[in-house]
Amino acid sequence: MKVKVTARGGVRRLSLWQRSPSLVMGLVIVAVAVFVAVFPQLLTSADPYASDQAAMLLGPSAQHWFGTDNYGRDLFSRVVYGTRIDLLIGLGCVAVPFVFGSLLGLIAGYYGGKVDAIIMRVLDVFMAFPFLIMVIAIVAILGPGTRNLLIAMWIVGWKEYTRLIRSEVLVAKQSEYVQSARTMGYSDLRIMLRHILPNVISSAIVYAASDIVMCMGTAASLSYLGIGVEPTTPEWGAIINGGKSFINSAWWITVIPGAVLAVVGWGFSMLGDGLSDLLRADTH
Amino acid sequence: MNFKKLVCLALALVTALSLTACGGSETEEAQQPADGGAADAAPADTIVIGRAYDSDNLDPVVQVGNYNIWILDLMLEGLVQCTDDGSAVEPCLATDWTVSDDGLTYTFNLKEGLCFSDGTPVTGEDWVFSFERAMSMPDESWYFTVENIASVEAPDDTTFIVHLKEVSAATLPNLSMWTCGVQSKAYYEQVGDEGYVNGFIGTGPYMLTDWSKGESMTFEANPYYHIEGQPVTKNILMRVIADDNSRVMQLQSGDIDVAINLSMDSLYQLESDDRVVVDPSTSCETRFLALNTSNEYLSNPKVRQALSMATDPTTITSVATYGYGEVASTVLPTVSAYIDPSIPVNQQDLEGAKKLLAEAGYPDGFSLDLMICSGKTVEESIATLVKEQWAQIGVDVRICSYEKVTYTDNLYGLNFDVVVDYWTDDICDPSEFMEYLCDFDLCSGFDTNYKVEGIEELNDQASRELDETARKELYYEIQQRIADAYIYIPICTIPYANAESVNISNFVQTPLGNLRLATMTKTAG
Repeated sequence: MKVKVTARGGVRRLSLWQRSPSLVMGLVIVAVAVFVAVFPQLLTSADPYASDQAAMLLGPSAQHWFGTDNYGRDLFSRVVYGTRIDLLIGLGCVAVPFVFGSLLGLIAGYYGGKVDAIIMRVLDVFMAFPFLIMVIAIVAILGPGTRNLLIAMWIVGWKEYTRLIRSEVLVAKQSEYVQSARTMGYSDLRIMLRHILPNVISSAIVYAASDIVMCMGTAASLSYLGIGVEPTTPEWGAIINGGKSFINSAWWITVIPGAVLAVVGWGFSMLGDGLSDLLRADTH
Repeated sequence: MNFKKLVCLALALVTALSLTACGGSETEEAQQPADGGAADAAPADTIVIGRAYDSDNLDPVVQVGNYNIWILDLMLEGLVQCTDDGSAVEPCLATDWTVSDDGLTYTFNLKEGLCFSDGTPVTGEDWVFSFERAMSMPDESWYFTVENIASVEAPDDTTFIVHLKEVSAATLPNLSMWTCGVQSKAYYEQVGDEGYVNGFIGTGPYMLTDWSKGESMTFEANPYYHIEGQPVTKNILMRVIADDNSRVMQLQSGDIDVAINLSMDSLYQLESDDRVVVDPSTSCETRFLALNTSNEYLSNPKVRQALSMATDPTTITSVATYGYGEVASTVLPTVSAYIDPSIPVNQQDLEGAKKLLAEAGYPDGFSLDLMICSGKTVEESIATLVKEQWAQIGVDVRICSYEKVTYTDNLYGLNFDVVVDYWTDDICDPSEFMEYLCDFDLCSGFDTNYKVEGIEELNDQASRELDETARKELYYEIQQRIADAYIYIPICTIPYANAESVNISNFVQTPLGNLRLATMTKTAG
């Protein structure tokens, strides 16, 4: 008994930093990104859409921290205002598949049989198409624009969550607490949502954190291909795309937004990594 | 252990060898300019041209696409040709000609002693064959150039007679087209239609000697060329380098001597490089906004006029083309001799535009879709600036960028509100473009779904009018009527974006795109 108590106390005394440094670093980066996304006007007074013929393709300077693009638009303000768009795309792309994918996985795993077979075969069909090709095809049908981009990402993004949750549910439904809940005569809905879901959702949460990075990357690459967000939108991928023909003479248009995208992506990745550390530590 | 040692040894050997190899090539390179200097800057034998696409069909009658058209002039010549500046037609293989009083018979006197690039003499039979082959293919894109020819005859090897179906003002420009170039009948009989895809035998300054599809084309000087002392350079190598940045870098490093199909931004960036000369050649490539009048707002002429007034083509041209483009007052290419001088370049008047919009019943504006083809930088820049300018009168523009196939479908299906539209002349005469502009059924009133009153009849008249001044008046009237309908907003004509290394001279590209390289030279050093 005595040993156990000290051990517990020891664990409790560890700071978050000691338990998972990557979580703290990820949190800091994401917090900064969220702050920038919510209050872009605090950081820059320049209009990200305003072109200026007299200031085309200027390098980084005190006046234009990140330089200007080929329309003379201030890149710092474009990157700052772009943060909101990219974060919204990242979070928006993940939120819907996270909820619906997880629910489908829960249903498939819990009921098994025909329900499971139907859901999983539909999933196989979606799996058979390469992710990016599928997104491009959907965007081509729906037309370009941020909303359609999100819809396309939802249609292809749910399947990983379903697989993940289903496999966990298959294990969880054999466990004693589910058996006893059944014996108590609880409804299926109550068992699924109140007893199984909280025990299986952690893996989906961890996956979602890294999925945000992937979605931001995909959105950026679609903008790069010219079929993502509307051309003038200061989305990071679109900015990089616009600068690619200037890579020899005006490197700042591609390199700086690229670096920002990489850092924020790294932040989310670390956050996901840290969350999984934490959740694993808790379960053990 | 032994094996590791062996690998190490082998690696060391390879490294040493490659180092000496590099050293070798360096000394060679260093020697070259010295040699050139000693030989008093003798012109180089070979000039390398880098372009974005390979050709796919060299059959003069069947081919379509600029990547074919642009190089046909190297191998093919006809009775007449368009001048280097694209403004008129000048004699080529014909020395002079007479026109019958009824305007239906053209008799050409040909140069004597003409030979094909394989050394065989050009006979009357070859001329008749070349024309009749083009005239026998009514489904091909360029048939319009021979449509008006009733028959041709060659009484002897230096006389060629063309009989027309009806009087036409565009006869000579039509005869300057590649469909009317002379080709060897004997070679055609040898290879047939399939072989013709890979080239023909003509009288042009160069002949195609090697073609690795997708990679390069090698041209060698025609030893039997009819102009003494031409072509100056012995070999021309056309290399396909798809990526814009790679073409720029290879030009800067001297791997290629001329880079064509560049973008405006590449040209702009090359300005500061003193090893390279930026050479934007005048072209017939226009950009304008076409307003689809099927749209509820755009069906209102006041709205169209307001949008026109809100647009500042001068600023758009200078930003989107880095000042290389020429701002347009009408939809005709700015190089055309038929532009109505009384139509001014559009001036932005935001207050007037707002007032008109209010009169039309939309004081708070509305929103429109502006369609562009993805990956085209000039179009994207134009769209970006139009969006900014129209936003000032409350019109919210949504830029819709589609890849080529969807874009073309939407364009032909009139499934857009406004489009950044384009035109390129293929012939040095306004008749081709005017036909498309005035004949409503050809492309739904050139993508506007609007029938301008009376222009079809005016165009018919103009195509038969032989008096130059009267013909101009008719075309002016057409342009005036189109301008009054406010269905287009002319923006600019953009040049061909070419750049050459400093030691290249006389690289010529006509406004129609044809490469004229017979006098091109490269001085060593």
